[in-house]
Amino acid sequence: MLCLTDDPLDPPGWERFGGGHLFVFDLGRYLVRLGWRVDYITRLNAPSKRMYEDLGPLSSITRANVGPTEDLTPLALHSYFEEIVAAVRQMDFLQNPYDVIHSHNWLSGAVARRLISAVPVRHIHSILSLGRTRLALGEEATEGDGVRDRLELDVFLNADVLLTVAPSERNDLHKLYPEVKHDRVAVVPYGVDPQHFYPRPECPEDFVLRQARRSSQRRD
Amino acid sequence: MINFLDSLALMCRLADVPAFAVWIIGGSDGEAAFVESLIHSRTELSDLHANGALTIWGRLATEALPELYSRSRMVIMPSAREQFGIVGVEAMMCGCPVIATAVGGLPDIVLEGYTGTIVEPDSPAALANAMLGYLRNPDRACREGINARRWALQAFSRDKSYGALAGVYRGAPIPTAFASRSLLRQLDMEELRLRAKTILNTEITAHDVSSSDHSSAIIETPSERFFCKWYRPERSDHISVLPVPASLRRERSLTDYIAVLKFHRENGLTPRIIRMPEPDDPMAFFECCQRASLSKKDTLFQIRRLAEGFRSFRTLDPENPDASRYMDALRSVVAHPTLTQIAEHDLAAAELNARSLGSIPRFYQVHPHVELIRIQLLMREEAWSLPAEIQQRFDGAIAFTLNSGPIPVRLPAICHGSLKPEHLLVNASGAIVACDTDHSRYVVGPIDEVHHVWNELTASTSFGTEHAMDRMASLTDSAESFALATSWLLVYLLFDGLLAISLGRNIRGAPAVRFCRDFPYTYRQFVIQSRRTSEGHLSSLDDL
Repeated sequence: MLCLTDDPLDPPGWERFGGGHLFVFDLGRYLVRLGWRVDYITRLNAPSKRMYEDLGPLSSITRANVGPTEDLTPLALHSYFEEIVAAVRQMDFLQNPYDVIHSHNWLSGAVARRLISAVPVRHIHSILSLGRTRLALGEEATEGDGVRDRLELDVFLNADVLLTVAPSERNDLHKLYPEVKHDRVAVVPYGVDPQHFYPRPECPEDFVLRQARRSSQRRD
Repeated sequence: MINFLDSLALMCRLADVPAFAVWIIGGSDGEAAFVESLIHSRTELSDLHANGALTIWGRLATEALPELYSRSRMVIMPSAREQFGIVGVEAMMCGCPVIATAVGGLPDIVLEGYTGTIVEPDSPAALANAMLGYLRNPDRACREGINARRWALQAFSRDKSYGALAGVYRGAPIPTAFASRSLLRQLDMEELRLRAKTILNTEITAHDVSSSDHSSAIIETPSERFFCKWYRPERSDHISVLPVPASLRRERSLTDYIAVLKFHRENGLTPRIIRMPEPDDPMAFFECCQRASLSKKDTLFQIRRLAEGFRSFRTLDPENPDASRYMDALRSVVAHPTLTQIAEHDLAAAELNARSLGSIPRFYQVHPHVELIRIQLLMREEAWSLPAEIQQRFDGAIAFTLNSGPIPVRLPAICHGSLKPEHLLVNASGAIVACDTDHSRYVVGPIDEVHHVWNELTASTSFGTEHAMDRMASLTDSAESFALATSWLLVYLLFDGLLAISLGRNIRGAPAVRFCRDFPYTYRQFVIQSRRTSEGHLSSLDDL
């Protein structure tokens, strides 16, 4: 799994780290339980982290030491693109007989395209966001838009499967990128673990009322 | 977030808002500090925060979230952009309905009206009205929460999603289908078929004819045919929109459905009941009737015949204490049209209906003029966040109607409650009967005739206010009935408008707004014309 913009072990639930971020780690854990080998490639975004960690017998995470050891946006990271490609190419993991490279976000997808030119494996790409959306919403074009668009289009045209998570994302992809072939676009929603997310015993009605009463008493 | 905070501030300024508490969850320390600064720049929210009714939690561990979702009546996702909306799925999985903006994947994951509500983005008023709907009707949150859990399990459980991805890794055909409401319908139908098979103890086929949240099917055994209906909790919009006495804030339950079925058991105008549902077995079997194929003229005739037939079924004795209490309450509203008197009227109407139908008291709309007064007073009190021009139109139409003549003080009579052409059937003896009496209740005035007109008016833009007046004149037989009919039609349309607003929708150009614009002029024309032609009786308006 190539996830260069965000470290999959970082906690979700703040700034840009939402469902897409949670998904990368959660999916890997699920696949490992099925007996698959899953290796994560990301970037070192904090000095306290190690460049390599074993996550159990079937999984590891390798962090490319490129750029400043802090969180960077995908666009800021783009200026280190060639260094990232070189760093990932040097990693041992490419010696493993992988079936699939699964990239997340356009920058990881672009790195994946460069790797695949050397090691032919299936490339599955999770879209997460579309560069042309900003322009479609009427926002002002920035310098980075052109770079992103070129790399994004290369990924969209050449990946074996493009993963979208909802019909709306698939429709946006078709509308904003008419060049993309429809037969390679999958729709698979993010999954949630029902063993963890289930209704807890106390009735919400009782709880909310109790809280609200407490608040009104305080107000009085 | 700004949109959400604005909607919250707006809601705090409205009248009749039940007590609530808000938790804002997620975000870095910097984001939490920013939210706090936004809260303190709004007086209403600053007060809420100071009183402990608004808490900023910041980012929480995933492990803590189910506890919070489970203790929430609703989860709000006021996103400006959203690829998917995992928070919405997590909340639904924990049995909590979701109010979300119509952006990105949110309308794909939240089933509008079934597991939550989708509102237009960038509209604090839409969000405020939608939140208010859930606060005013706690049953709605429970019902949608149950639906939400069921939907999330079917559509977004981790094993299904990641299992599909594992298939993609292996090179299986690319999945392109996304779950929809029809998936749940299929499961319902399969369960209905299995239950029906057990009850009838024979091989059956089931043909899905569901048109509401209840599952309905034509069941065929080797020798017989039945219409089978599986009663489920169904949304009761009135209590989401109208602030009503707390003791009457209850959605229709299986007890109500059973009571109404029992009530109409001897009513020859309804299909014969073969098997009654039980409190722990919500499945009913009816004789299988054919859909009536009628001309427009015959449809109108049958609607009128059936409506009159229902009104004369189990009429109320004026000496009956509940009827007498209701009449006193109605007279009090006429004499002193205040919300306090209307609340008394609501309690009397609920008692009357509950005792007559054999059910438990809950809120019913019984008299159109009382409903108009209620809406007028609540609008003036700002019980909803309405655009000024819409409020003006609604207020104008109500004032015109209330000033058009005295409020009829009449004893309520039973109505079908949802009399429309689709509910007209031909039974085994060749008689036309009306199915689906779930909304049957004691009301004042020709509501069944109006229901039909309202259906036409909302279904077609070519059927305008004048057509509606014309139709109602042909379906009523006195000036008083005509006045009650026009008032009911106005109530129906205003309620539609208020409901749409409480579902976070924009109603500019909606039938309610068009009708309120044209209604006073058209009504006046009709009344003037009728006085010229038949001294106040409107039955001759057929010829207009």
